[in-house]
Amino acid sequence: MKDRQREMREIKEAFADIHAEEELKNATKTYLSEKMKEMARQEEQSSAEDSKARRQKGSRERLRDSQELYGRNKWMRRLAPVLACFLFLVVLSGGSYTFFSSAAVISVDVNPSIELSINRFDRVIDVEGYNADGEELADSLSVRFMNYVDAVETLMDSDSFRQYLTEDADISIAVVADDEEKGERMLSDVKTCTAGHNAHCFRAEEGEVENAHEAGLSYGKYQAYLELKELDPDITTEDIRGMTMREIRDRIAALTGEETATPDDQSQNQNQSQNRNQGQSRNQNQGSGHRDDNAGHHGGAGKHHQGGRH
Amino acid sequence: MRSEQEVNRAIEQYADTVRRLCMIHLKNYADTEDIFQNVFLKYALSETAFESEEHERAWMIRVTLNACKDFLKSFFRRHTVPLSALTEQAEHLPEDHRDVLEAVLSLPAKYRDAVYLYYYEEYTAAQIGDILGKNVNTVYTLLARARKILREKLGGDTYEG
Repeated sequence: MKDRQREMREIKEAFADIHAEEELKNATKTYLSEKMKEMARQEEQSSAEDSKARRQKGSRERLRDSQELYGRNKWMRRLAPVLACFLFLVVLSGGSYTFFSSAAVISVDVNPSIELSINRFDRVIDVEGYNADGEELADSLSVRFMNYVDAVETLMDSDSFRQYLTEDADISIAVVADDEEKGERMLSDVKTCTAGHNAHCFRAEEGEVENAHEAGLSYGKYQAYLELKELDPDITTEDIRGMTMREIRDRIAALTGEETATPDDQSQNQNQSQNRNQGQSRNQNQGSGHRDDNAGHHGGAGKHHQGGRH
Repeated sequence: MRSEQEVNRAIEQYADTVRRLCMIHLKNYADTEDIFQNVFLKYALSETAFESEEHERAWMIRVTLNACKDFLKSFFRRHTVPLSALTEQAEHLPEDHRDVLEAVLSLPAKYRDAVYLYYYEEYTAAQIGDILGKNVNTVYTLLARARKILREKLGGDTYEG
């Protein structure tokens, strides 16, 4: 017990020896009196003008608030960086989601079938091949993040694509877009940049070709498949996958030729071949989707009769 | 805002208390000066009506401790050590009780407040609990451990005599 008392006394005495230096007290007093004068002056000034007054009072309150913020709002301060990070992530993921979600697809089919996925900023975000040739072609192309017009031009000029552009090759370019206006715009752009080729550009409705990927076909080929299927119900997607667009076109031409040649020569089929020979662009509501032919010189129906039914 | 007289009275009255608290937390004189300014400015601006002197004293202690804590917490503080800190502290301790004070200062930070409030200000554990925002039993534990450490530090001769 004695120890305890002694201990207490020792410590107390030790602390009691500590005093605030006069110098320190005076410095503090001077500082405060100046500070308070300054504040009083500010207040005086502020009362002169009403608007100013509010601001000055605000500054005083802000000082208090900032002190409170400093001491009390610990959680807020700790959470702020977390929230900032979170917000950053949300913006980033939102942005990249927007950037990396496809708004349109351009499907190019000759024999190789490839599809360019286009985002809403008209950039190519993905190139996918739908058959062996297509995959090879997709690998050899580096058109990611290009504008789709440049991408299609690059594709048309690439050596790996040119090798498929034989005399009678038929390029089919399908544009699939959610947005009507965008689709039309893209279609006309694509038409412009493929004008020198034997290309056949059209728009397809997304709904009509949504099964394409399930069947393992690109949109363009699937569209052709649907067309052919109307004429030849026996055809399967398996058969289609192995055929070039030329073969499919020939097949369609052959079948339509076969069926329409006998009853009426002035039927739709002949119109079609005439139109193509003249290289006119014209909408035909044949099969599904709008069809728009561009500078195509499709051989007449009768000429390619070799396909036939199997 | 309080009047200048009021503030000066408070400075006279509580300067020692604030100084002691600064001593047990801060390592150099310049920092102490900052704390003094902060604490008394806060006092000058506060609208708190104190019920008693005790109330005022407790408020002072609380504000000073917070000021010290905030100060030590600030980014700059945590990442720099002023050169003077290495030498200055010892010079400011009075000769007579240097060993005791050094022992107290060598305690971990969380014990120092309790020791000061208990031994010097003679608050009860419950009051200390209120001031520090800790459970009474925590305060008892802090004190008991601090006492043990002090005894080891100061050795037999001081306390066994």
